[in-house]
Amino acid sequence: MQLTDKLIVLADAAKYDASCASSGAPKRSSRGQKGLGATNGNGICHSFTPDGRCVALLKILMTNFCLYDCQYCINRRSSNVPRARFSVDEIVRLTLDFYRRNLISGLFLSSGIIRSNDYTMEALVRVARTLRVEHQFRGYIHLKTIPDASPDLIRQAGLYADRLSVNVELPTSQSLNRLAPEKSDTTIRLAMSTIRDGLDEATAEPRAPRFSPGGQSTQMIVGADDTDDHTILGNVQSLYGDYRLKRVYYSAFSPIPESPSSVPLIAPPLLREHRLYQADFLIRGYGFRADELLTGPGNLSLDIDPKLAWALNHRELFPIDLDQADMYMIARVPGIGITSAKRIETLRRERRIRYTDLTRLGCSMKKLAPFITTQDYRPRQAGLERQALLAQMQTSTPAQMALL
Amino acid sequence: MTMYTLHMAQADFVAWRDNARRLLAARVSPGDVLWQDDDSAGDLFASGDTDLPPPSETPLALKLSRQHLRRLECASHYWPTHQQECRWALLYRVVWRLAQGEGEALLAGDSDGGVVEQRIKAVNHEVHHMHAFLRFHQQPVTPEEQHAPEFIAWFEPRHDVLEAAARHFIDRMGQHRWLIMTPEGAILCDGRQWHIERPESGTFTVQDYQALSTMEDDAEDLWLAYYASTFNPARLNEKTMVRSMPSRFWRHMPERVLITGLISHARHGARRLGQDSRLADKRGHTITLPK
Repeated sequence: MQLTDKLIVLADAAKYDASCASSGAPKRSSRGQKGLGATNGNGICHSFTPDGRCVALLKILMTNFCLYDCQYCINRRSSNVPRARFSVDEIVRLTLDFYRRNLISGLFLSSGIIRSNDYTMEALVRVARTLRVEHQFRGYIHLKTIPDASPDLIRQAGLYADRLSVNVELPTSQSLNRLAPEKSDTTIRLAMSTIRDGLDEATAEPRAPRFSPGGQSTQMIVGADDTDDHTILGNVQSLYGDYRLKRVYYSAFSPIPESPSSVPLIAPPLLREHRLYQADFLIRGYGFRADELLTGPGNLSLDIDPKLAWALNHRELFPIDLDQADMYMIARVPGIGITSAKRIETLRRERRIRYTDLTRLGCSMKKLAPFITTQDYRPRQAGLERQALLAQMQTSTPAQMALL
Repeated sequence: MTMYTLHMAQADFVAWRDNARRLLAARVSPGDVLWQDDDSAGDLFASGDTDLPPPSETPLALKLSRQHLRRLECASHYWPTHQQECRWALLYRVVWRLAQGEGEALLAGDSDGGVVEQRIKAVNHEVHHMHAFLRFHQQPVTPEEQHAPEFIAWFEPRHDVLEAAARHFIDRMGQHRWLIMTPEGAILCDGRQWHIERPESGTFTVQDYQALSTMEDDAEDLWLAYYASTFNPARLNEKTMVRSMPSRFWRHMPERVLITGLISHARHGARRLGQDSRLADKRGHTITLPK
C-alpha cells in the first residue's frame, strides 16, 4: 500500500477524535541548534477544513486494525473498512515533512488495539521516542493512551509527550458497558489516575522526570446514547476535580458506514455539542457549578446560551451596578467575559463606568442590556417577566432546512 | 497659533518617540501637530516643515512603564486605512493625555485607549495569522549551493508584522536555511544568523518570489491527501471555516484547490456519513478474533 493511501485511511480513522489543541507545552526552541521545532505554550491552528475544525496537528492512527468492537467506532472489528498500518519511520517522515512546511505544530497519535494493550502502547511510545531522541523534534506531541496498558508504559509516554489523554468514550459506565463491551470504566479511570499521579509528582518534586507538561485531557461522544446534559455535566464536573484534567472534549456522534442498530443514524448534534462546550467553559473559567446551569434532568437549551439561560432564571440578582458589583458577579453577566470584567474593574478605578465604555470593550450589548446599570443607563426591561424578556432578546433568523 | 508639520521620514517608533518627547517639552497640544508618514499624500493645509519651538518653561515629561511603551510600539505597527486616523497622531494624543494625568487614556474602555487596544489586537492577530497560514515550499538545493535557502515562503500581511512574526520561525526551523518574502521586505535566515532585506524601490512582488521557486514540492500531495481525509463531511460548517481562516490567505495555501470541491461534494450527499467517500469504494475487511 502506498504512503498516500495509508494516510487517507488512517487520517479518516482518526478524525472522530475532537481534540486538536497544541497548547500547554513548555517553552522550547531549536534556534541555531540541530533538530527541529518549537513550542511556546500557545496553540496554532494551521488550517481549517470545511467542517470548521482546525488542523493543528497531524492527527492519525498508527493502525486501524482493532480487536475491539465498540459500536460507535468506525474502526470496530466488525466494520467493513479498508485497514492499514503505518511503520514508525513513515509516521516520523510525515510529521517532519509537514512540520518543516509549517503545515502542522506536531503529532496527535492514537491507535486501534492490536495483539495486546501493552504491545500497542509500546509501539506508540516508540514513535514518540524516535521523534524526540533520534530527530530531536521539539514540536508538540499528543499521545492517546491505551487504558489497559501497564502503568510503566504510561510513564514512558509521559516522558516524551506534551499531552496524554485517555478517552472516557461515553458519558456513563452503563452506556460504556452496552456499546463498548471490551472497555471498562474502571480501567479507564485507573489509567487517568496513573497520569494524574505522574502529573502530581512532576509538579511536587523538581527533580522528578518530565511528565506530560501539557497535562491530560479526555473525550466523550455525545449523541450515541441517550444520556442527558444534566448527567453529562455532573460527571464532567467530577472528572475535572478527580483527575486534574485540562479539558474534556465533546464529540457529536457522526453517522458511520454500516451503522449497527445500537447507535443512531442521524446528523451529528452539532448545536448540542456547542452548548456543552459553552457550559464546560463556564464550569472551568467562571466558577459555575454544574447544578447551577441545569437544576434538574434534561438538556441545555438549544436556542439560548447557558449563561443567558442562567441569568434569565435568576432575575432577582439583576440588574447589577457595574460601579459597585464584585468582579466575580460582573463576569456572570451575559455578554461580559472574564477579560472585559477585568477591564471594567481597572477602568472604574480611574472613573465611573459609562454605557458606551462597554461597546468599546467589545461586550455583547444586546445580551447585557437588561442585566446592568451604570451611572447613565437603566434597563427599560427591568420589570419584564422572564418569558417576555426572552422573546424580546431572540431574533428569529430564517434557517435553511437541513439536508438530513 | 502655529501648526507644526512633522514628516516621519523613517516611519519608525523610535523617531516618533523623539518627536513626541520634544513636542511634550514644548507643550504643543495634539491639535497643533500634523503628522505625515512618508507614504501619506500631502495634506491640503500642510505648510512646509516647521521648526519646533524651544522647550517651554514648564515642560511636560512622561515616564512610561516598559509595558505601556511596548503597547504603544505594537499599536504603531498597525497600518491604518485611508479613513482611519494616522498612527502617530493617535499615539501622540494618548501620551499627551497621559502627561496631563488622564490615566485612562491607555485603557481599553477609553475612546483613544479603545482604538489603541483594537490596533494592538489587530497586529497580534496578524502575527498569529502569519504563524499559522504561511507555507514553506521546499527547494531542491545542490551541494554547491550551500547558501541557497532550502525553504521559501511568500506572505502578504496586513500590518507591519514581519519582524515580530519571524522570531517564531527562527525558533522553529533549527539549522535549516529559509527565506520569507513579503511585499515590504524579506527575512533571510541561514540557520544561525538572520537579516531583513528591504526592496530597493517600491515593493517585492509575488513574481519576484515565483522566480525563485522552481520545482513542485512532493510533500504537498501528501498534505492534500491528509486535508481531504481529515475533513468530516457530516459536520459541514463553512461559516466557521471562513471566519477562522479568512479567504485572503487561501491564495498561497496548497489546500485552496480542495476547499470548494469538498464543500459541494458534502452538499450533494456525502454529508450522510463522516467517512471520506474515497474510502467507500475500497475493499474493506472485518477482523475475526484469534481463538
